[in-house]
Amino acid sequence: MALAGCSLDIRLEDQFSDPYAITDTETARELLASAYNSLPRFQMEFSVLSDDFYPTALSQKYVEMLNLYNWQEKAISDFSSNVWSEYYMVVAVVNALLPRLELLEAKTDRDAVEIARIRSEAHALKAMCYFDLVRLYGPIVLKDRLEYETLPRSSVEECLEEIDRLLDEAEKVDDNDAAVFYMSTEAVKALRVEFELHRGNYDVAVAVAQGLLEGAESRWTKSSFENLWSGNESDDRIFAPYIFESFYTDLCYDRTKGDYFILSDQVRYDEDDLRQPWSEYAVEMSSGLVRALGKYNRMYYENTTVRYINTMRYSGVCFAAAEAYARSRQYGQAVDMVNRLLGAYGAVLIDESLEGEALIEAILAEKHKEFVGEGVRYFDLKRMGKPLKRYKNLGTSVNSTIAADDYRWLFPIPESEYKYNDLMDQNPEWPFIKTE
Amino acid sequence: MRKLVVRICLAIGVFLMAMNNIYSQPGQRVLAGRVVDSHDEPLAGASVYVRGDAYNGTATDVNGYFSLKLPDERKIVIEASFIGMKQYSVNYDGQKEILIVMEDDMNMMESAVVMGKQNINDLDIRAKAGVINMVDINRLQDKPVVDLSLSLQGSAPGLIVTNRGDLGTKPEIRIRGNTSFRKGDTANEPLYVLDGQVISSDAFMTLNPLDIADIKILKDAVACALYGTKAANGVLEITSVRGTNGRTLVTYDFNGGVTFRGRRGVSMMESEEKLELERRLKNPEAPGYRYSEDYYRKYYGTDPDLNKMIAHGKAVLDELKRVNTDWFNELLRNDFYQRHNLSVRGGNETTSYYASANYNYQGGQIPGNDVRRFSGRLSLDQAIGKKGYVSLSVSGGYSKSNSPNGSTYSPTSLIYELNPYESKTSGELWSYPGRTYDDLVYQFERTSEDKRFGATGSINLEPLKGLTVAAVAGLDMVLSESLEFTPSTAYEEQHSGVPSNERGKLSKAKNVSTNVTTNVRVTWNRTFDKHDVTVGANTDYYWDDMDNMSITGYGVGKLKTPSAINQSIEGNRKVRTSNFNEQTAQLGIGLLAGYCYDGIYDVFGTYKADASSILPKNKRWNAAWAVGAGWNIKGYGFLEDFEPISSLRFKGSYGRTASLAGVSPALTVATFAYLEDSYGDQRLLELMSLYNDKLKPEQTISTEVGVSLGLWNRLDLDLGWYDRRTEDALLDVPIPASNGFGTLKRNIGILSNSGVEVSANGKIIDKDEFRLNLRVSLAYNRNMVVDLYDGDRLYVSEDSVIPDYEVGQAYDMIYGPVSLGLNPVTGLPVFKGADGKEIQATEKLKREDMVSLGYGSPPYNGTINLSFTYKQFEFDADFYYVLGGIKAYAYSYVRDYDDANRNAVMGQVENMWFQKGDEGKMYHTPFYSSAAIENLTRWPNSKSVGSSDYLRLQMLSLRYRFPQKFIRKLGGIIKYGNVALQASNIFTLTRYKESDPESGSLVGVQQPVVTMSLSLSF
Repeated sequence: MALAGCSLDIRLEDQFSDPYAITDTETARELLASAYNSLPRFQMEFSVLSDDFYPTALSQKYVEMLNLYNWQEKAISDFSSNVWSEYYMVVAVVNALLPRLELLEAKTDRDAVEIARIRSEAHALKAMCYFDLVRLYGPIVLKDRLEYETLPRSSVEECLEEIDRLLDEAEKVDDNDAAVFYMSTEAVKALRVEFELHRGNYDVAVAVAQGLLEGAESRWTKSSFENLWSGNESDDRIFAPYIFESFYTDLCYDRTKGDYFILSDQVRYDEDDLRQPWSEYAVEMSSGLVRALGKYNRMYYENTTVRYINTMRYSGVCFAAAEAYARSRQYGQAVDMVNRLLGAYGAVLIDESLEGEALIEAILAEKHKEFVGEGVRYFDLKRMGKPLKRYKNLGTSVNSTIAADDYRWLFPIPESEYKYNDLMDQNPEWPFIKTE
Repeated sequence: MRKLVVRICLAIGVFLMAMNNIYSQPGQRVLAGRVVDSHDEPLAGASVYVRGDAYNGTATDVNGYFSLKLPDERKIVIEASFIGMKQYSVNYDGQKEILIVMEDDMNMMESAVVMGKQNINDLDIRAKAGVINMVDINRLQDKPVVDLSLSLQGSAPGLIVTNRGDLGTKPEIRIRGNTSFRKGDTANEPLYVLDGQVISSDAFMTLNPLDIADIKILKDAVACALYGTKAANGVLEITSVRGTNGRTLVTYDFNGGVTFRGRRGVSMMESEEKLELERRLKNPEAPGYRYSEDYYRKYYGTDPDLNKMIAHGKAVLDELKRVNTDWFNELLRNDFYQRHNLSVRGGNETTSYYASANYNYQGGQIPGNDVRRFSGRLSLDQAIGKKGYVSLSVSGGYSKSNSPNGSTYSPTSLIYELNPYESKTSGELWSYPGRTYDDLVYQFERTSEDKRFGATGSINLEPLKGLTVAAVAGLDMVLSESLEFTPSTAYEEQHSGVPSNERGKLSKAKNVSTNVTTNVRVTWNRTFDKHDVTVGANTDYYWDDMDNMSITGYGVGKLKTPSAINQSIEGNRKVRTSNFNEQTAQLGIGLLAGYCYDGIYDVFGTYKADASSILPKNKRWNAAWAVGAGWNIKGYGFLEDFEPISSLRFKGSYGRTASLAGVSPALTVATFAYLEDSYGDQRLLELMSLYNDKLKPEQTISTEVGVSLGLWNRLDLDLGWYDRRTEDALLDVPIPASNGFGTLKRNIGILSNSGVEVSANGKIIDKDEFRLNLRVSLAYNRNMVVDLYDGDRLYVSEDSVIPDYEVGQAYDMIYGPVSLGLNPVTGLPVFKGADGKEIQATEKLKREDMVSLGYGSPPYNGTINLSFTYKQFEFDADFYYVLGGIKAYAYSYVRDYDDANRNAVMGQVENMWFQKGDEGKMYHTPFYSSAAIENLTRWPNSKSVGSSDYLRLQMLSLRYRFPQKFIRKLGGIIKYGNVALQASNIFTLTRYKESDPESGSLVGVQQPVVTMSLSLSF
């Protein structure tokens, strides 16, 4: 019959279903790339939550962001909902990839190496997501499979152990010549430094950092800092996800009228600091000339395409190492470590006599200057445990103060999780409205 | 037969008319007449000819009229044939006019040899027990509406067509409501079949109504079951016009007229009131406050020039008050409608043909919105000896629609935004600061084109008596192209901050949808004594292919072509391409059996197994089966001569169909696709969705009982009750976000659509020259959530307060609190809490405080069709009504402080609460705290919804047929002719306060069209 040729096994032209989807290292790499591509990009929101910025007269026109600046419960809840789901999206892709990776047959040695690298990077990405989630939410859900599950939260200790295990897996492979937008061995190590600092294993943090920072001064040059804020290569980058779309365009209300938020007075650069020209950007607003954020914001003003989101930098490792030294009472090493970087940038060195909390604060103040607008400060503030002031227009007066023990330092579990997961509880003091 | 003879004799008597002598010349005898069916409905395209002289024949026109030249012979037999009707023959005895009443032929295959029927699933046996509504195609053709799907509105009970936007937008078409919890067309759209070939809904929209002989609406399981799992949402079977056995008939139709602006839904303010409102709203962005005395006193109270300022302000305001622009008239327009149609039909006993060409244009309300269409059709039927025939049809169409309304930009909405004191030339607008009128128009244009091609071939053979072998194969393709263009001169582009070589956006998309159908059917029918047995089997294969490619680029400037895209642009204005291709196939095997005893009892059953490529191998096969029974009480001998009851028939059916509508491979198995973006040097392979390997097809279970009753041959009543249950209904349900995906498609429960459909058709007056026919129909549909597998309530969004689906409730219910009116102190509404206490607008409402305000989709709709004939005049009117639903008002034209600079609804000053003590006001205070926002904007309340009931005069046609006397004076070139005044959507009566109770939007009203038409046949 004529129907003999009518097959029902139709492989779609541009959709690939199991078992014809992840069939070689190329497709596995492409799936991993989509995990990288879905890494959350909340650098601006976390900066707004921190003391990087002051609001301006224009902030009123972007009420959601202003509410977030003021730590309004609803604004943080809304933001938390995005954060939670975007991180778990990356986790889901990694969970989709890992079992399919095991089914791949390595036909050549190169294949075997590539499979190992992909596995390592996937573990590193998952570790990174869990690490951010734990820092934001406390105990979180640990997902091992790509399937519909309702799971309870694991304890913080269990989560940290899981991150440790994931990092161990990631560290099994040496991959030093990966492109900057992949998690190279260096990136895994840098993540390890942050993680161990957070866990309080200061000696491990310091040891790993020492290895990373050999000859790092050569990375902290004027051109290398400038290159961070362009599509060019920069020696200071360890891991910088590639971005195709526009990025960080929301700070600016209108190129002729100015920004919703400008730099706060916490961030002031020394005269000869070569980071200043790229960290600050003078903008004429109705109130006069203001210090707006440079970096991505300047790139937006100047129509420079953002290609990389600077997520891990050697300078960050330097500050983490210095903090680890300081917290383990090796004050001299701590000061030396920070001054290596400050010296390279032509900034005023920190006082060698500083000790204890004062030293930690000084280190983090310097780190603040280095990373302003990059969403790093929020996590440091959390670790410092200090009250946080929320200012009114241009920092003229204090609007409110977030106490060091305020419940909002821990993000709320979003409704999109707990409403459909009976095993889920809520962080203290946050609304927990179950609908039957 | 006896009855038939009686009726023909009657008819002949009716049409005997005195004729002039000059026409009685020997050899020039002419017989004029009309062919109708047993319900007095005219039969278009029936063949009328002299027996033994196949070339001396003709075909009836769209209204059943014909004229036939007779040879100068003594004994002449006039014959008439029509598909599905018994052959008719009568001895000619010298009469001048004749009425031929044809009877349905239950066993059509015996009589229709040449008249091809390509849809081999259109078996008469299923019509006995199944529910099949015929669309009155003549009325459809009388409507001056460019879009065939919209003109179907009201054409059959239970077929619900809803307009959704401006001209050229595809309307929503449903048969008996939504079959699925999933909203949208993919899961709920009926199947369209043209001459046995599956076509897409887009292809259906482009068909020419004049090429259509009939449209059948298949509603219940028995009627649909032959189409298997594809037909869970019902079927529209379209049969095209075919050739005739007789002399060639050339027909030209012209229809031309004017399209109007339509109903002015909301009257907006005039300058005087608007400026007063602005003064009260106190927003200095609006001139009414900015130049008011209040403003100067507040901000310049101590200024020595205060009085001068006030005087200046008054002068400015007086100047503004002098301007009073009616933006409804200014922005909307009257335009044209025209239709040209040329067709040729003819043939002989062995070969017949039909060819047509059509052009149609309709201009929309807003400049830049119009639809035009060309279409052509060719069909051929050829007898193969006495054993059967082959048929071939080829058709093509081109349609183009333009619209200035985009997703983010709608010039139509400017009617409700621009102020009366502004004009096209008044420079910078208060309503759009920084822009002039020219910065608001010509900002965007969208053109969509559909190019359609279809070819269907079929063969029907009867190798042995009673055994029919039929096969149909066909292809239908629609190439849809769209072009969206934002010129570099558009305001958004000018102010986008990108360099000038990157301005101007253009998107071009091409989508080819191809449907291939093959179907082979064997049917055996035998009558033994009083037993009539039919058995049959078929196998069919459907293959669909969707292929889409699109390109979006920037830097085109003012050029509307992709070649002007600046390909050097990097970053987010980089040129992008995208591709989507999906092929699906379905293979089916079906069996059917029917039995009829003595024309009184009949039963019919069908089973079909379909395998779909969408599902994984192990769950590929799904079934559709149905059984039906009929009881023809009039068939009993004792009732045959009982005149009051001319027909009485009961029928019932039950069936079960699996449905794969809206299911794609990505839902059941891990499926990946490439994204347009890249990551570094890598492509991005993305997991499309969280798959559900437990997913099952939805099961549709239909039960139907009906009765049809005819009284005195004058009144026909049809009553039917149905229940259609969908089990394992699919829905994207929210899952914990830690799964990485927010939703998962799951089989979540059972829903039902049940209802009653009633229609009555009465011949009120049935005199010689004077006939009045009235048909009234009413359809009621009620949908309900019968069961949810995970509990009693389902919330599809985490911030739903009211469950979106709740067991025992309708799933399109609109919920909200009961408003007790405005609190005279706060100016904000007060709601009635569940415990009877008052709840202020700033307090939080709970689930218990919400009540059901009404149905979102109206449960009742129906039509009233009136036909009146007097001599050569025919008058037809169609009314369409919709009852029982509500729609929430958008109130977007009620202004508060923030948008005081945009125009507002007339009477807002009078009806708004402004200060303590204002009582009986309609609109709440324009000054309120953010605490009240949720209750004011998130839910409708009992005072912010309105009944969406409406009654529309949908079609009006007054036709004058040229009398034969007059036609003959023209020299015999013209065979028939008529002129008509035709109009569509003349008015809509509704209590709904906003513009359109149908679409619920301020834009997109079905516009009135009034035309004159001329039809000539040669």
